[in-house]
Amino acid sequence: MSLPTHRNGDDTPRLRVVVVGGGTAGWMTAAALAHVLPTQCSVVLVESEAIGIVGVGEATLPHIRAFNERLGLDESQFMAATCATYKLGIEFVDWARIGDRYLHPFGSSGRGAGGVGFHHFWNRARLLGLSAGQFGDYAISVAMSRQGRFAPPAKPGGDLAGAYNYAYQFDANLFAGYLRRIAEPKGVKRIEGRIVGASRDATSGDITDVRLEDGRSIPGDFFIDCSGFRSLLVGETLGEPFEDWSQWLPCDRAVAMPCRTEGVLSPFTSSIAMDAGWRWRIPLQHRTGNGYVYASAFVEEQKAMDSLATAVEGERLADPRVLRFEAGRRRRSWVHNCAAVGLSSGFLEPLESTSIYLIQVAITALIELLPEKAVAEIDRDEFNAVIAVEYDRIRDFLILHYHATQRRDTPFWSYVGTMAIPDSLAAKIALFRDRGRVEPYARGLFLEPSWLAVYFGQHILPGDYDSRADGMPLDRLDTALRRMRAEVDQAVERMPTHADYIASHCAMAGAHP
Amino acid sequence: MSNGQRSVLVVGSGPTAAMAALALARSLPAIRVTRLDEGGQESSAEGFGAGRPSIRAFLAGLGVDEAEIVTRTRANYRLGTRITGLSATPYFRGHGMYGEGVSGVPFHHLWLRAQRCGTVAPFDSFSISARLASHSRFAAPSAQRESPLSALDYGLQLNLPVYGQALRSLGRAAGVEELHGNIAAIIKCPDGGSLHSVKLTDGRELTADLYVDASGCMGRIRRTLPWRWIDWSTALPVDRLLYLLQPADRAPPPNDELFALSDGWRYESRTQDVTVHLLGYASAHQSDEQARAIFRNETGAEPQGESVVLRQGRLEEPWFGNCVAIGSAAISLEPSAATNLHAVCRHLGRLIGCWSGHNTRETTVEIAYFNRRTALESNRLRDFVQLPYLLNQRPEPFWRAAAATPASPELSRDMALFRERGRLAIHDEDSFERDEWLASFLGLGVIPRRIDPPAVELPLSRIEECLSQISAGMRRLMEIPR
Repeated sequence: MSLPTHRNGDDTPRLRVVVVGGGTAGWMTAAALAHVLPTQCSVVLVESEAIGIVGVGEATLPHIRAFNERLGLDESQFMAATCATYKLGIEFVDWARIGDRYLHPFGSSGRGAGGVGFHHFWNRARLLGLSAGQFGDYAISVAMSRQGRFAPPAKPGGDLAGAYNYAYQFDANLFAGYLRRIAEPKGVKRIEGRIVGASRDATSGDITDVRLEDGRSIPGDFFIDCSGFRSLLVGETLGEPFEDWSQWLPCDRAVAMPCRTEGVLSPFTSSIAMDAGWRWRIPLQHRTGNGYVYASAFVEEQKAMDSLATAVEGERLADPRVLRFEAGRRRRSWVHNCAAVGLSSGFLEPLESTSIYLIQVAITALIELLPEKAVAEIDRDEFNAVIAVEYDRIRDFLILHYHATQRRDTPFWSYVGTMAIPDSLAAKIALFRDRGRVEPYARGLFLEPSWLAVYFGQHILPGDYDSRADGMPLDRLDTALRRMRAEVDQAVERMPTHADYIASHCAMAGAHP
Repeated sequence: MSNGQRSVLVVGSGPTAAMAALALARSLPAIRVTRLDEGGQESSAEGFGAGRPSIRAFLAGLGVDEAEIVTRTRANYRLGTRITGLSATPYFRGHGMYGEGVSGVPFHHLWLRAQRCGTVAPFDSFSISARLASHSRFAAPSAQRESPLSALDYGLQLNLPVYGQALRSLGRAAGVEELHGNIAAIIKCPDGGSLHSVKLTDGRELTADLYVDASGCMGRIRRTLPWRWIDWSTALPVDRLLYLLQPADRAPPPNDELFALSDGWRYESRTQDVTVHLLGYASAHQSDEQARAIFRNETGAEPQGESVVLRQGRLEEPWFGNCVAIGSAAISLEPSAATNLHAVCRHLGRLIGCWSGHNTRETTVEIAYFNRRTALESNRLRDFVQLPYLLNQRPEPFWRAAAATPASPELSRDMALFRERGRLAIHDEDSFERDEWLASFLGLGVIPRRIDPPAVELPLSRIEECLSQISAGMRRLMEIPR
């Protein structure tokens, strides 16, 4: 083999990529492209300090670790820089009924046998009246969360003690800044300026450049729209239609208000049901993020602010800020020579912390499908297919949380508890109610353990179980269940508290352990 | 939940029925399993005993010892298929992995990059299965991650009649009741949507909660209920088979062989005792007489009996009411990609999952699930079998016509995406490993126009090092005396 003089053995010049917007999506995209494809694209990022960033998605999913790893980020350093905490799952409070509390953990519950999932054994025990406890009692991450403890999982083996994963809760503003400090030395050129429009090629309709308020124009071959809700290029310039999902996900506002962290530092995000929506609680090292996601059709803005102010536990650190949005997605995320990443491609409320995950999926697909100067239809189609499946499957999972409520105490909960749901979700629920089966899929987020956690956590209980679970005599089943619960408890006892673990591994600057 | 004992009647005399009865009896010990054997041969369209790795998983899941089955039925290990005559050079469609990627770059893009920059060994040579097969050797997969054998996977080449016998005796031990008799009438329930009973010529009347039609492509009992066959003959031109089972003349190689001929193909597989010869052709392009002459010419022997008619396609709703068709009663595909036994394993796994409750009558939710997933899987099997026809490089009219037939929208997109970017889209219920799709695309000579962008960033020296490390590992392994 002889060494080529040029990449690809040809003289293709680098693709000029223009990233529009510098929030979480913009800086994640710019940093990833510059790091992973340094010889194939040049990256310019245009952002305006005058425009604030939304900075939603302070809570992430375990996939973020793969992203950080690919960028070569050091975990402790990254966590210290973004005042991050560890996250083992999401706690749901008062969702199906007032007084309910369950965790959707990043991990599985229990151990099945003979090719039959654990939940069939648990459901059998429950139906036969054994004291089987909660489904979550068999998940290590649930026990860790309840006790406020954290340690990273050992190498995955057969034991329950290793059957979990983790993510981070961090300050998205700090994360964007952290990525900027990484991206700029890798060649990302940042341009400060407010974008007022884009020019398009008269023949192809492709975008040729974006124009700034001060008269400058930034040319590019390929544009990535990270402009947030505004969807400056894909929505405004290219006019891609928006598929509206508000009939199923009626929340369209959020009021955010950080407060001081008090009490135990939880290794999880909370989602607490409110009269007309739900409230997030995300504990970080330097503050706790709070927000009330609500449906404006069911509650006034002032009332929502008041409810949030009453609910938050610690001293307020900022005035409340209101965000407006609409659930749904652009029909296509990539149109002409422009791909939307982040909120410009669609919005799903942060109930399951999916915002940053969706950014990541788009970035990964863009890296693998980096176009040539003339975009091939097949690249676009594949990208759009990947993104659409992710959005649609997350959508169904989110709707499940609302649909599976028994609450009728406010007009909001009555509405979501009785609204029509998509056929795709109705089929999944019917299959689960029948015998506890979760329809598998090869692509997309949220696999069986996630669906099980929410179904069981919200009292969707199958009327039957897999009869292969009958093979185990009842007394042995009872012993096996006890043993698993004990295994979980013992494993957790040895772990440090979340706060101690952070103090010794990744404390933010100025923290006093 | 009902407390009565649930019962199932399996109808069929071949290996599919034996597998079904055994699997139901072992997996759901509380049910009563009866198998009705009408005698006679299972249609040979059932397949010729080539099993993918799924056959091993099937046996293991039932607690059947693989080594014992191999010894007792004198089966053979099967690493894949060598395919000759479809493209410029023969290629191997093997089980297991083809090399490992680095830094998030899939292996085949490392290979493509090296290929673009100069000469590189064929893609096959990075498959341990292909390597072993080319030396006519076999070894068990290794649990040691560093060993090239950790990437190995294999299926089994079975001698079907003997295998069927072995499974029937295991079935009897597991409590399967075997009845021999002939069906006089199949009685439907008044609603017309389910079966009431099966009457035998000797006057016996059999009833069950579930009727499993494992009778082969005739669909002996399932046909009584609403029945719609989706025809695939446009996509898959072969509609005739000639075959011969011969005593083995040598130790079997650990793979089967597919040779493209001017108007079809010839296939050869071997167990320890038997060599299976098959000739697949299209009646539109070749007469039976011409085919017999070619068969004699190719194998030096006469085929057994007349040509077998093959109606490739699938049943729209394999499960209807209380009757479910499995194996070739539900899907018929030419045996060139070893999909027949595989489909039986998949159908049974799904059936047991769907009929594992406590009600005697299955819910429409489970039936719909079975049919939906089976349809996805069947279409994907069809696409895989069709791929070599679409991408072949032969000049003859049979092959040009096959290459010009329409593909499903999914397969068309898959081909376009691979041609352009060397990327495989992800599909639900895909039975094949990604590396099997890759081996097919690359073996058929499709070189993507573009390479995975992250692969372009890797220094060529790193790629060369990675490839030569894999080769060296395999070479060392081959130096170990057998």
